[in-house]
Amino acid sequence: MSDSLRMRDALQVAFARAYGRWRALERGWRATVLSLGVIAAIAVVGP
Amino acid sequence: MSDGALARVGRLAPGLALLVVLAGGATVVAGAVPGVNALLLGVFFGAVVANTVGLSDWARPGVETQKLLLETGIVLLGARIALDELVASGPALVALVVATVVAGVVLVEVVSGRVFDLADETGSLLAAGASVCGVSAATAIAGTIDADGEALAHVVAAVLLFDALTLAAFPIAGDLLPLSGRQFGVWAGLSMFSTGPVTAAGFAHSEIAGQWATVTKLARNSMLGLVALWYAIRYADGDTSGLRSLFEGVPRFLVGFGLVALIANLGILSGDALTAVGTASDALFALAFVGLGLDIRLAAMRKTGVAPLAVLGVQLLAISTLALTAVLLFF
Repeated sequence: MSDSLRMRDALQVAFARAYGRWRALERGWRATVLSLGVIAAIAVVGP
Repeated sequence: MSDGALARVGRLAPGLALLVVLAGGATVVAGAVPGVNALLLGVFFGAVVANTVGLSDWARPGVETQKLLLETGIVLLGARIALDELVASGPALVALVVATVVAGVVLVEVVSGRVFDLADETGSLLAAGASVCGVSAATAIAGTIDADGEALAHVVAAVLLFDALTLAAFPIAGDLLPLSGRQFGVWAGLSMFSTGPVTAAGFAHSEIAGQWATVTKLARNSMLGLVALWYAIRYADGDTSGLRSLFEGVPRFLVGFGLVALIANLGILSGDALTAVGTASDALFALAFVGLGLDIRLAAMRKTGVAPLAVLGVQLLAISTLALTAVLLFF
């Protein structure tokens, strides 16, 4: 298996795990995570 | 992206697109017609669609994200809150919140049991719904006291009817009464039942009113844990195992709101970044309020009995009068 395939598989596993955790969160925590994501994006990319 | 996540995005997209189209339409019409508020028009458009053509199954998953959109909008609103101003008004605001929640719960319990002869459980669900945070509070207390589903359904329909009525009435009252934005916001936050309509009515009045309405309502929401604990003890005949409900009852997005307010007030973000966060919050509110309108079902509201409506009417009248007097005296 090439390095790029291994990298892709690892990314897929990481994404599936993160998605599973997101689905398990209560709505209020999801709102908090989304908001912090929006703020981080604005801070990094710029308004 | 995993297949599950892709499929989920595909299910959400049509309903989200419907929210965007209706919110965009409301913004365009409100921009063209003087005196029309885009947020309230969005609620109206949603209610018209829900009660004429109805909400199709393809749109339901996306539209059901409206509560997440509303809570995210509220968390981001934290960036616009001046903590020093909030701390200065804190003691008076907290005292008013505690007084109105306690007075509301006691009043509804007494009126529903002694005047309208409603079952204890129905009275308690009405008390929590009217005094703390609408449908979410009634649902949380139903779980705490193990209330039956039919009682909860009637209470939810009655609360939603009052949400729709107060959403129309409070902005009109705000225009007629000589209240500042801060006074109107605190009054709406203390009197109206559910978080969405409070936020919409506040911002329909003014930016300042919207901020104070949201902060006041969040303070009221944070009382849910204490109210749930009280009901757990009362219905369990003194059993204090309900202590857990003190923590379970506190809405989680309050933590996010406090965190964002802290980040904004520490001066980490530039003025332009804070404005952009505010714009994101406004956009989420616009979508969420259309979803709020799409949740209004006139047919279901008609099935609610007269007694629960009368109890809520008495509570609203008494508490909003008390709150208005207190706001005029202390704010």
